[in-house]
Amino acid sequence: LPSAACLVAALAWGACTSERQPVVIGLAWPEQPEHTRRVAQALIDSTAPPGERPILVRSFDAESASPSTALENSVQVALRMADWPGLVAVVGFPSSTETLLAAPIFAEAGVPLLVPTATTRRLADAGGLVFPLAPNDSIEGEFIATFAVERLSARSATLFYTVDDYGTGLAAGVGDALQRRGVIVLDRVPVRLDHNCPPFQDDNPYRVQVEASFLRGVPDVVVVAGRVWETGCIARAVTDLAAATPVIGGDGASAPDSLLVQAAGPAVDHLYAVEFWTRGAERNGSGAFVERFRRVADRDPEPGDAMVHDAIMLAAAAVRGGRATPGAVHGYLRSLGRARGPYPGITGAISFVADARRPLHMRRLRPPAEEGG
Amino acid sequence: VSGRRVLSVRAVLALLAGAVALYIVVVGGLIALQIAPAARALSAHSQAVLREHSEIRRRLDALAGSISAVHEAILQARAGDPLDVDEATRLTAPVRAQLDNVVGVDVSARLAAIPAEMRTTLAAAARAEQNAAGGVIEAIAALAVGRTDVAIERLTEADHGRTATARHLDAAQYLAIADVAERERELLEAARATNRIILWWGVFGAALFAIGAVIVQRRLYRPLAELESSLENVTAGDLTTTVPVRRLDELGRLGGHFNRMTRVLRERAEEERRRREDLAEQFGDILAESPGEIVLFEEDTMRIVRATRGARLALGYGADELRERTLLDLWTRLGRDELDEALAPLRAGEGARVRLSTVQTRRDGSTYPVEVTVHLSSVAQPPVFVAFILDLSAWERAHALSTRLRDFALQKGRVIGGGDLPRALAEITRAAAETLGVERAAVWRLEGDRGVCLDLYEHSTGRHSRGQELEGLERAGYFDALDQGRTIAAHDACADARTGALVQGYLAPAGITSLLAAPVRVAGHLVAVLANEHVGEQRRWSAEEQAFAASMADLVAIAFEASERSRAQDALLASEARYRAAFEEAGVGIAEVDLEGRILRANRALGEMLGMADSALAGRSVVGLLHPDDREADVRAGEAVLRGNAPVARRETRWLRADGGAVWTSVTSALVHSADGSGDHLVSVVEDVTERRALQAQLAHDQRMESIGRLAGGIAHDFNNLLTAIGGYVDLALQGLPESEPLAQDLREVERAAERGSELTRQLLTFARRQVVEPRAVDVDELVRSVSRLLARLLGERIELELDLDAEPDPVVADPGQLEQVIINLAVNARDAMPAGGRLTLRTRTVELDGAWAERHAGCVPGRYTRLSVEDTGAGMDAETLSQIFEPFFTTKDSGRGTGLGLATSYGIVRQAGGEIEAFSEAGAGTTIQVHLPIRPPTAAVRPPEPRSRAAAVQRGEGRLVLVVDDEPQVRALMERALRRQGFEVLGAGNAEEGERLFREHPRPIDLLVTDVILPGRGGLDLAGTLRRLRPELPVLYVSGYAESQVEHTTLLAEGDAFLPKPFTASELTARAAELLARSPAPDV
Repeated sequence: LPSAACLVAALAWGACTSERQPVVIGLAWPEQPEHTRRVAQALIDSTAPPGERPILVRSFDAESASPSTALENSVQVALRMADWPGLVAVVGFPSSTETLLAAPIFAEAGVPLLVPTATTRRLADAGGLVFPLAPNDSIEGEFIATFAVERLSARSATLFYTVDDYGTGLAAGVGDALQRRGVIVLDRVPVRLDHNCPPFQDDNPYRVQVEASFLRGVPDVVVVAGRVWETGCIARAVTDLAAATPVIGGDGASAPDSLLVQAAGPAVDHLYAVEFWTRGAERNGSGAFVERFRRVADRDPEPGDAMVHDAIMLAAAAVRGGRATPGAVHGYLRSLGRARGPYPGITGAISFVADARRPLHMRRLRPPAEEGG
Repeated sequence: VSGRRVLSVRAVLALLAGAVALYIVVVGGLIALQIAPAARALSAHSQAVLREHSEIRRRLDALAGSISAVHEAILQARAGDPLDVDEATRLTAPVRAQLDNVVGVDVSARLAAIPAEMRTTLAAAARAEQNAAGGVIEAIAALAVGRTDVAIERLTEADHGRTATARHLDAAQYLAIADVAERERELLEAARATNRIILWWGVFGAALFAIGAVIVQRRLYRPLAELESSLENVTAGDLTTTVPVRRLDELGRLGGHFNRMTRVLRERAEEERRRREDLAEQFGDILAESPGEIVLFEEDTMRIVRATRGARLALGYGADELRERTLLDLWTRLGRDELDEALAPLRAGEGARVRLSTVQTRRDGSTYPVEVTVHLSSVAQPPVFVAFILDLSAWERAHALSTRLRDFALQKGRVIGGGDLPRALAEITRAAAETLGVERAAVWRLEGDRGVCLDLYEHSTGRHSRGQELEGLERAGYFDALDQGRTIAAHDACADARTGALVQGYLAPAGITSLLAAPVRVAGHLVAVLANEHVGEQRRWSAEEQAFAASMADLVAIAFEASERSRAQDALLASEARYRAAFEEAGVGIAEVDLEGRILRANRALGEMLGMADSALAGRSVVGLLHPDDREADVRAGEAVLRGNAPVARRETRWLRADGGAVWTSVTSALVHSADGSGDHLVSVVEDVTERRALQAQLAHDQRMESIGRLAGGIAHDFNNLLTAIGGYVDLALQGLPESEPLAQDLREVERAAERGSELTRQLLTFARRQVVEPRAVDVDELVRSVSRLLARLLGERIELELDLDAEPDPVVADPGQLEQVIINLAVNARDAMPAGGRLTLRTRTVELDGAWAERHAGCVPGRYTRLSVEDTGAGMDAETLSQIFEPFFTTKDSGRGTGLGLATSYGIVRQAGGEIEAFSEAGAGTTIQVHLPIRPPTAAVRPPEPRSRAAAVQRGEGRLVLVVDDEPQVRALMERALRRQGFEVLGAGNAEEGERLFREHPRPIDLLVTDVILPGRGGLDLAGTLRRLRPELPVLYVSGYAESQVEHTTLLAEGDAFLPKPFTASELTARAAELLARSPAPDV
C-alpha cells in the first residue's frame, strides 16, 4: 500500500508538472529565423484561447551560442533538438539535403518534421513523419518547362544544376518535362556550390562552364537549378556570351531582389525565378502576416518567410485541441485533406494527400511586372 | 481408507512441467532481451559503416583517376593540343556519374543505420567529394574553352577537395572504430547482466528442483514402493496383506482397489477349498463307472484306492480285489525304485504329469502293452496319484497295417499310377492277401448287375487269374451295402445278409467263410470292389484291417484313374499327331495367332504363299503382314471373333509377300479355346485366291467388253438403217438433178456426211466383231515387214522402228487387211505416246499357251499362237487407264486428235480372229501390247461379199416384180422407190408373214425377193426358205445392217443369192437387183 500510494502521488505530480510545461515547436532554420519565429510566436500567442497550454516556438539558433545549421551540422542540430523536452514538432530544414540527413533522427524520436521549402521528391521516401509543404521538384520542373515552352517559345535549353539533392532533383524534373515537350536539352552542367562569385566583377567562376557548355550550341533558354548566387552568376555569364538569352531560376533563387540583382548584374533583365508565395497573392491572413513581419523585421517578407510561417502556424494548429504529443500532431497532419479539410495557410491550402496541389509563381526580376504562374 | 481429496498426481506433474517450462522461457527471454539488441545494433552499425566507408573510398579512388586524366589533358593543352568537346564529354562522364551517385541515391536511408556522431563527418566527406568532383568538371570545361590557367586552378581545388574528403573519411574511420568499441562495451555489459540473471535464476531453479523432488517422492515413489511390497506378499500367498492409503489421488485409489482385491481373493480361496472337497467326493463315485482304464493309488504306498470299471474289466479283477493290491502287482516289470524315480517329479511339484510305457499284467497272468499318464490329484485329501492307462495292443496292430500300406504305396506307387491296370491290380491283390492273411484277394469290376473279375490272387498257389463273371449282384443288395459303407466286413459271409446271395454262386464253391469287401470309387461312382476272401475257419475283421482294406481299395481306384488317364493321353497324342499332319501338309495356309495378334505357328503352305519360311513367320505380328489398305477391316473382323460377336470371320484380304508384292487370300478365322490353359488363340485358314480373283476380273472385263460390243453393234445397226435411208434418198434425188445444180452440190455434201457416218458405224461393227471379214492364211512376219514400210513414214524421224521378227512360218487365219489396220492402230498410239521420240519395237514369236492361260482369256483355247508384240518407250499408263483402253470412244488424246475407236477396233479384229489382245504398261515405263493369234490351217475361205461399186450400172427393171420385205418403213420405202424408179414393180411388206402372204396371193409371180435378214418374228432367211420351197428358183437379195448376219447368211447363200450390206445407195440396190435378175431367167408369165 505505501508503495502504491507513492506511485500514484508521483504520477499525479508528474501530470501536474507536465501540464504546466510549454509545448515546444522546434525551428531549424539558419537564415534570419528570428524574425519569422517572433512573428509566428506573436500570432500564436495572440490567438491562444484562455487556459491553453502555452506553445513555444523554439529556434535552435536562439538556443545555442555557436549555432550552425550548415549542411555538415544538420545532423548535430537534429540530435540536440530531438532531446528538447516538450518537443512535439520541428519546422526545418531549408535544403533538401539537410532535411534528408536529419529526417532519420526525428523519425527515430517520433517527432513530425514539417519541411517548408525543400523540394526533392525523395522526401516522400524519408518516412511517414516528414511533411513537405512545397511542391516537389517534379511538379516544379513541369511548371518551369511549361513556362519555357509556352511563354518563352523555347525549342532548346541548357540546364545548370548544383550538385546537391535540390539541384539534381530539380534539374531532373525540368529536363524530363522539357523533353516531353520536344525541347532539345543541349547540355546538363553540374556546378559547384558556394563559389566565390563577386557581384559586378568580371571574374565569374561559372563563365568557363557556361562557355564550354555553349560550345554544344547556344540554347533558347537556360535553366539554373541552384541558389541565389549560382543563379545570378550563371545568368551573368550567359548574358556575356549570348545576350538576351532568358535564364530561369528555381525556387532556390527566390531571395530579396537586391541579392539576385547583385549576383546577376545586367543579366537580371532576362532573369526569371520560381516562388512559392508572392506578396501580391495575399490570402488567408497574408496581409496581417506582412504587416506584422514588416513591423518586426523592418523589411518585406520573402517567400521563404511565408512558408516557414505557415509551417509554424500549422504545427500550432495541430497542437491545439489537446494534441500536445508528437503522435497526436502526426495524426492531425495525416488527417488534413482526409478526415478534415486542408489547413488554410497564407501560401495556400495545405494538406498532405497524394494529389494535393500547391501554388507556384514565376517572377521576372525587372519590369515588366512580375508574372503569376 | 482414510484420506482427503488432494491434487491428482497428473496435475502435480503437469504443474511441475509447467514450472520448468516457464523457468526456461523466462531465463531464455531475459538473456535474449539483454543481448540481442546490443548485438543487433553492433552488427547493423558495423556493416553500415563499413559499406559507406568502402563506397566513399572507392569513389575517391575514381576521383583520383579523373584528376590524373584531367591533369594529363592540361599538359596536352599546354603542348598545343586543346581539348575538344567530345573529349571533354568523355572525361566528364565518369565524374558526372560519380556526382549523381553521391547525391542520386537515398543518402538519408543509407546513413540511417550509421551512428549519429558519424553522420556529420560522412556528410562533410560527401560534400568535399562533391566539390572535388565539381572542380574536376570545371577544370575540364576550362580546358574545353582554352583556359588552361583556370583549369589548373580548378584542378588544384579539386585535389584539395579530394584530400579533404580523405581526411573526413579517416576521421569517420576513427569514429567508426570508437563506435564499434562503444557497441562492444554495451554488448559486454549486456553479457554481464545476463550472467547475473543466469546465476540468480540458477539458484531459484535448484530450489524449485528440490521442492519438486520432495513432492515426487512423497506423492509417487513412496506409494508405489508400498504397493510393490504388498504385491510381493500376495504373490507369496499372503492374502492378508494391505497397503496404507493416505490420500485419494490415483495411487491412493489404486491402493484401495488393491486392498479390496486381496480381501475378495481371500474369500474366494476359502470358498474354492470347500467346493473342491465336495467335488472330490462326487468325482470318486462317477469315476468308478468309467469305461476307461483309470486307477487311483496312494502316493506313498502305491496301494490302489479306486479303479474304474474299464480297468477292472481289462485286468479281470473285482473292485475289492484291486484295493488289496498295489501298482507293482499290475506293472510287474517295474520295481519300486523305478516307479518312485518315475513319480519323483510329481511329488516335487515339478510337473503336471508323468508318462510311462510298460506292460500290464491281467489277473490271468496275460500281459498287454500300455501307456500310462500319471497325475497327482490334490482334489482328494490326502493327495493321490491318478493313472490313465491306454491299451497299446490295438494301436500296434493298426500301426503295423498302416506301415505295410505306406511301404506298399511307396514301393509300388509307380506301378499303380503308371496306367498299366492289370499289373497294378496284380500287385494290389497280392499285397492285400499277404497283409491280411487271406487265401484270396480279387478286384471285380461292376458292370450293371454283373461283376467281372479283373484280377484274382490265390495266396496258396501264388497265381493270378481273371475273367470270371458274377451275375445278379444288383439283386443281391451287394451294391447297396458297398455304397453305404466303406467296407463290408462279414465274418460269417454265408450268414451275412449283405453277402448271403453270393453263397451259392461264389462263396460256397470257393470255400469262402469270411469276406472283407471294400468299394472302389472313381469320381464318386462305385466302379469295382476289392474282395478279401478268407477260406477256412471264420475270422473277425478288426477295424484296422477294415481300414487297410479300404485304403487298398483307394489304391485300386487310383490304378483305374491312372489307366483312364493313360488311355486319354494316348488318344490326345494321336489326335495331336493327326492335327499336326493336317496342319503341316494342308494345301492352304494355316496360322495360329495369339490374342495379341502374334503368329504362334504357321504351316509350310502359308510360308510358301508369303515367300518366306514358315519358321520365320512365328512370332511376327499378323497385322504387319496384312496389306495396309486392309488392316483396319481385318483387325475389326478379328476383334469381332475375339469378343464373341461372330463365331467365325471370313474375309478376302491381301497379305504382303516377302518380296513386297500382295497376294489375295480368303481368310477364315475362328477362336479356339485351349484346354491345357496355354491360352485362347485364333486359327486362321488362308487360301490363295489371287488367281481366282484375276480370273474374275478378266471375266468381268470380257463381259464388259461383250456388253459394250453388243451395245455398239446395236447402235451401228440402227445408224445403218438411218444412213441407208439418207444415202438412198440422196441418191434418188441426185439421179434427177444435173451436177451443175446447186442443190446437187448440197446433196453431195449430205452424201459425203452419210459416208463418214457409214465409216464410223463400220468401225463400231468391227469392234463388235460384226464386220464382214475375209479370213485367209497370213504369214504374220511377212505382214509386219510389209506394213513397216508404211509405218516408217507414219512414225516420223524421231521414233526409231525396230523389227524383231522370229515367228515360225505357221500361218494364222485372219483378214490381212484388218491385221494391217491393227498394226497401224497400235503404232499410231505408240507414236502419240512418244511425243519427244523413242523406239517402237515390233516383235513376233511363236508360243505354246497352256490351259491356264486359256482359262484367263475367255474364248481362247490352249495351243500354238503367234505373238505380235508392239513395244514403245513412251509415257506408259496407270492401271486405271490400262483397264479402259480397249473400250470404244475412250481416249487420252486431246479433243479432235482421236476418235477413241482405234484400239477398240483392234480389239474387235483380234477377238474376231479368235485371238487375244492385252496391254502391259506402267506410268513412265512404256507400253507393250501383245496380240496372240491362233495358228491353224486355213479352212474354206469365207466368201467375201461382192464388191460394192458405186459405178455399178443401173439397169432398168423392165417390169420385173420385186417383193421388198423390211421392218424399217423408211428403208423399205426407199427401196420401193428406187426400184420403181428403175422400172421395177414392187410389193412391200413389213414382216415375213406379210411377205409370204403377198407372195402367195399376188396374181403375178414374184421375180425377186429383197429382204432384210433381221425381221421381227421370222427372219429373212426363214422367209426366203419358205418361198424357195414354193418356187426354188426364186433369187433373193439379202440386206442387213449387221455384219454378223451377213456372215451367217453368206455361209448359207444359195446359188443366185446376193447380199447387200447397209447402208447402200439406191443405185447399188438397183444394180444388185438387176444383176440377180439378169442371172435368173424370167419366169413364164
